[in-house]
Amino acid sequence: MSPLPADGAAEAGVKIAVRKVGKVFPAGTGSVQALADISLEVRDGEFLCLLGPSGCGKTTLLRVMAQLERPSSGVIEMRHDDPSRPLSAVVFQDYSVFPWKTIRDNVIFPLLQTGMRKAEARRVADHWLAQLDLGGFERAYPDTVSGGMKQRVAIARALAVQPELLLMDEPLAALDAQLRLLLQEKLLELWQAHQNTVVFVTHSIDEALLLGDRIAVMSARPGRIATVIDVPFARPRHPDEIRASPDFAALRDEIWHRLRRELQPA
Amino acid sequence: MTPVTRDPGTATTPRADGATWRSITPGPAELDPRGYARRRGLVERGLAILAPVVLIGLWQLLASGGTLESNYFPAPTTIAASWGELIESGVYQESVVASVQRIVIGYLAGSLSAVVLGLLIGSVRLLRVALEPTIAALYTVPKLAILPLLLLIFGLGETSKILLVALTCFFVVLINTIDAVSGVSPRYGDVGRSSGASRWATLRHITLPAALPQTITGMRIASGLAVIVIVGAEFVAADAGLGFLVWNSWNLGVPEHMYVGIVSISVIGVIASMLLRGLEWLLTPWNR
Ligand SMILES: Nc1ncnc2c1ncn2[C@@H]1O[C@H](COP(=O)(O)OP(=O)(O)O)[C@@H](O)[C@H]1O
Ligand SMILES: [Mg+2]
Repeated sequence: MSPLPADGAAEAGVKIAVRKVGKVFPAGTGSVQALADISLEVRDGEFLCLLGPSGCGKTTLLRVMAQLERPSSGVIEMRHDDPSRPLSAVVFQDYSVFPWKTIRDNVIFPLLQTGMRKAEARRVADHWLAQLDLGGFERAYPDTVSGGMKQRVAIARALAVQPELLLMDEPLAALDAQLRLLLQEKLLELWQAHQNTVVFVTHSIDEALLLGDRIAVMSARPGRIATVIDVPFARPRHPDEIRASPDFAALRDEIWHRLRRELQPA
Repeated sequence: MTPVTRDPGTATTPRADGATWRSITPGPAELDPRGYARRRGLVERGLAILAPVVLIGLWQLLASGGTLESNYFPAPTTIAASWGELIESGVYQESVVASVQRIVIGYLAGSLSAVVLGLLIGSVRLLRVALEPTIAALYTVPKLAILPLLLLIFGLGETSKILLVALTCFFVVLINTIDAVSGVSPRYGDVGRSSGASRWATLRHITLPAALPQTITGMRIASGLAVIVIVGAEFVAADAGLGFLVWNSWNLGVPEHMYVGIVSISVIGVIASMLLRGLEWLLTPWNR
């Protein structure tokens, strides 16, 4: 990895600084511009939602933050505060749970990569599985459980390593409406207890409002940050109260109009 | 239009209101699922056993009645008797041991080295692009065609025959393993990378298990080929083994022995295939 430029990287309270990041994928004879000139700061300890229509580059931006992809232009700087903890962990859009490992071993795998002993890793894994209501399924193989459970395994796997930065790509998108509500509450509860920095990709306005401190709204391809919205709800949040509040409806309308403008060709 | 009853469990009945109602009710399979499954299993297994028994019985009738030329198609009882003689004289055991030994040693050497190399070549891109065309070309060479070359180099001893089996298995398993490794979904690799997994951990925990099912399929194909190829080699270049037994009984004009050899070779093939299915069951518990 190339050394980072020194300018302004140490700004107080900033966890990730995305500066003029562009990403171009080669596609056939031409190329696809997935991201254009993205600039964004993620604050230390905040829950930032990335909201945008599908295909606008949310996954791409998240993958660059996860160091799985390098930008075609610009730079991303991330502050790693505690070298004893991993900088980031990812919950992938398609779960990416290993079908050949039991649910417990799926969660243990990244723990062992941090150098943790097997017995300790097992204890930590079981703790997080219990947190996500997966107690009793430790020895099951992922393909024998439902999609919602697999997704919870993926979340437990990411949370278990206690990363400074949790990157989640539409982790609840594939779930049915009821399960989704329950897991939103669960995530809210877990985050309120642990407060790592979270970047959470979603295409649901409600979800972004419920979970986020701020919402970065992305425009259609090539992805840009159209606007960043502060979510005014106090924490700890209670999903039912928030959904019932008039502010919620107003903000939701505002964001929806914003998004609709992005989706309609000028 | 007349309503059609598609299933024994459904029935249509005209009612007083002039409309036709279709009622869907449990059938025998639903009323007694366990008993139904058990009876069906018994019937199916019975048929599977009965069919070959009937065929052999028919063969016996035709052969002893003189309809079948006994020089070509000796009666099953004649074959069984000469099987007993071959066992008594020890020729049979010697043949089986000779063939099985060549198959097992050649198979293990060829397949295991291919799995290791395949994992390596499959996961190192530069190696793969460098070697894949060559491997594909060598794979297409019918291995029996190089037996004379092996005989020339290694002589008539065991080495040439074992090597032939090993080479045959090697390329099949190698191609399948490389293919399996390059087919591993990159999303699993992403999990490894974002977890900071080392190369070794990635190989051990991601590449190997993800590639295992197809690798074992390659190993099963190889086991069948190993049997075929050793028989071919023993026809021309051995003085023991089941292939030799078949070939030699043609020379000696003892067709019964030929059948003993042929049946035994098939049985070895079936056992090998069953062993590999067992291995697959053991090694890929998530697919059970
Ligand atoms: N590896 C890739 N190769 C080529 N094109 C890609 C690749 N990844 C993403 N893209 C393209 O980039 C655009 C943004 O994709 P993505 O980041 O997945 O969007 P989102 O997650 O917002 O739905 C899409 O048009 C997609 O087809
Ligand atoms: Mg996406």
